[in-house]
Amino acid sequence: MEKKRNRLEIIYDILRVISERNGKIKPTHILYKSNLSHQMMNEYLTELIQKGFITQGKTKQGGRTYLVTDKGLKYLEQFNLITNFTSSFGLED
Amino acid sequence: MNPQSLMSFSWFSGYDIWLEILFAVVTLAIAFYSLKIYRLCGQRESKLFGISFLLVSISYSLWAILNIFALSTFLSAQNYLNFENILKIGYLMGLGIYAHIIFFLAGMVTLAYMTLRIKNAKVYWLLMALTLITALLIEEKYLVLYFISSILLFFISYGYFEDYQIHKNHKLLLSLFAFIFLFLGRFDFVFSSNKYIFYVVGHLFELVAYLLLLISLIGVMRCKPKKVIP
Repeated sequence: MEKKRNRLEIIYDILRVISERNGKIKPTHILYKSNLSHQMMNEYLTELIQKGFITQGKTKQGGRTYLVTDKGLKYLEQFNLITNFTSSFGLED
Repeated sequence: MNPQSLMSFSWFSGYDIWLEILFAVVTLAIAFYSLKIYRLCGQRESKLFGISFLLVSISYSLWAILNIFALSTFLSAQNYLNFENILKIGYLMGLGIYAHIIFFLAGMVTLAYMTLRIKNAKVYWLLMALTLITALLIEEKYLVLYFISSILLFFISYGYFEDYQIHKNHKLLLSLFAFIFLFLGRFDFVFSSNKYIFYVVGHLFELVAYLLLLISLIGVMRCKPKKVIP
């Protein structure tokens, strides 16, 4: 059985999916790739926008799309450090 | 400090100050890294962990500074150690330990709040107020304060033990043992007002604890960043 992902890993997965198709990703694609419920995905996206990891844009058809910011890219870069620190000092949720 | 402690002042004094400086540096490094992680991911636990270690670092720094003052007063007055000088040394050492305990307790309350996964700011401030007011008003200050920090560290260690049982992560074992040693050190300090040797042993327990935390931190610092192509 696969280990349940923690919050930091879910955020990493969402950011990675968005960064792979930066500026061209739709919520349905994030939903499919991040393996979350619709409600959970919306909660995470709202949190990521509030924390400045992503920004929301609009497609030509008027749909939602997302972009990873520099802060979000920094998160992806330093993910090993973040998980190592949180797991070593018991900060995982 | 009692007269017996002052008699034994010479052989460990100096070493204790170096140890307190070392503890201040280690805890400051942990606080710095934790707040760096908070800046990267905005995780609440990292923020609380960083704040708690920053408070602990301040507490050791104050303790070391005031112990340096006390030691220099003792050394300059060694040939004419009168009642006034003994009082002055006792006052400085007392003030140092008192400042250390206040900041240390604030740090431990923050750490306990994080470790026990409480998510209610009112509970945090209640715990903080009860701990610090008790610390300020109680007469047998050292004894009670060491007891309170021991109790907090016992719960923190237990929180780490529960975490280890859930995650079975070997890296967490170092932190678990570190907090157990910190608990032993604090509990040992309870007896330090009667026997100076307990003061020395308490420092040694804490040395082991902070070395374990330092090993954990060095392990984290060796992580290399991933290459991300935007």
